[in-house]
Amino acid sequence: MTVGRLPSIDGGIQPTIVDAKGDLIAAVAADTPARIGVGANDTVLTADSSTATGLKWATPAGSSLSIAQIASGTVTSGQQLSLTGLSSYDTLELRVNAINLSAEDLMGVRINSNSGSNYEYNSARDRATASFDTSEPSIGFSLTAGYFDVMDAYLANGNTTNHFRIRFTNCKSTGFTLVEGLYTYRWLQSATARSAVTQWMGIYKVAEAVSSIQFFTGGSGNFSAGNYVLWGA
Amino acid sequence: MQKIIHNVETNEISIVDLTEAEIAELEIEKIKKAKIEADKQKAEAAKAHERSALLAKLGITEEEAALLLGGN
Repeated sequence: MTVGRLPSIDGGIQPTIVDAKGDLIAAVAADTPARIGVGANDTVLTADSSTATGLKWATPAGSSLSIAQIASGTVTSGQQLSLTGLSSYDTLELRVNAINLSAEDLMGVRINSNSGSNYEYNSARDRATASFDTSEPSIGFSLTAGYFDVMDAYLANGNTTNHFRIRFTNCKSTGFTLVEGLYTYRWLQSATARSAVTQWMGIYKVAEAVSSIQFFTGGSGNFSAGNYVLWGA
Repeated sequence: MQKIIHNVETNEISIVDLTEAEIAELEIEKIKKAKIEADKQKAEAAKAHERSALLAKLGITEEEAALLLGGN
């Protein structure tokens, strides 16, 4: 075989079809080869049906996330905050700060309003008051809960020192979603400091994309103060 | 009973009543909360009993114990 000539029954593709180092040959139609000039450094060959050859050089998508704030507001009434229209985000981070409830209550998080036994999580809680509390620290877990217990069976107090941060990843996938959260609480009452921390990690075991998130009380306490910010990528 | 709905796509915020199913779920949560409160009260009562028993054993009052521990 002669270098510079690609043999075939009809005599092969002429070497003059390529002009420079890195050039490629692709078909523009049946039995019709054409040159694809080499792309710029660090670009990759990508299928694109709109070009003559069906290919183009393109910069590969970066692995870093482009996270931006997508929603914010206040929670001053009701028992539930439902954030909807989330289908286009793969990573979400929800911050709910300075939550005040009208009465002590549980707090939970659900995905897509699903109340089934699809929430598996492990949690660790520590709480401190002026006197030693023999019930703390504590750990909890559930393999089949109906929601993520974001405080580990602790009750949010009626003051503005309840702070939550919850992260959702793999949301766009049709597979399961990973969720993790942190709850912090610190309150100074009559010179007595009280504090609590709950950290938890879980998985939403339903093979579906996340389209909405619900952050709710146990039904005894209403939101009377607080604010939220949601970031997404 | 109400919920706040924030549509992130349209940035529209609305407040609507909870559905009957959502209210029914809350009733279950109230039972769970009542159990937690009962457990908490039980633990606090047990702790108070332990403290009283210890003070009786030491023969001192609660105020004297607080003084010894440097508390207020």
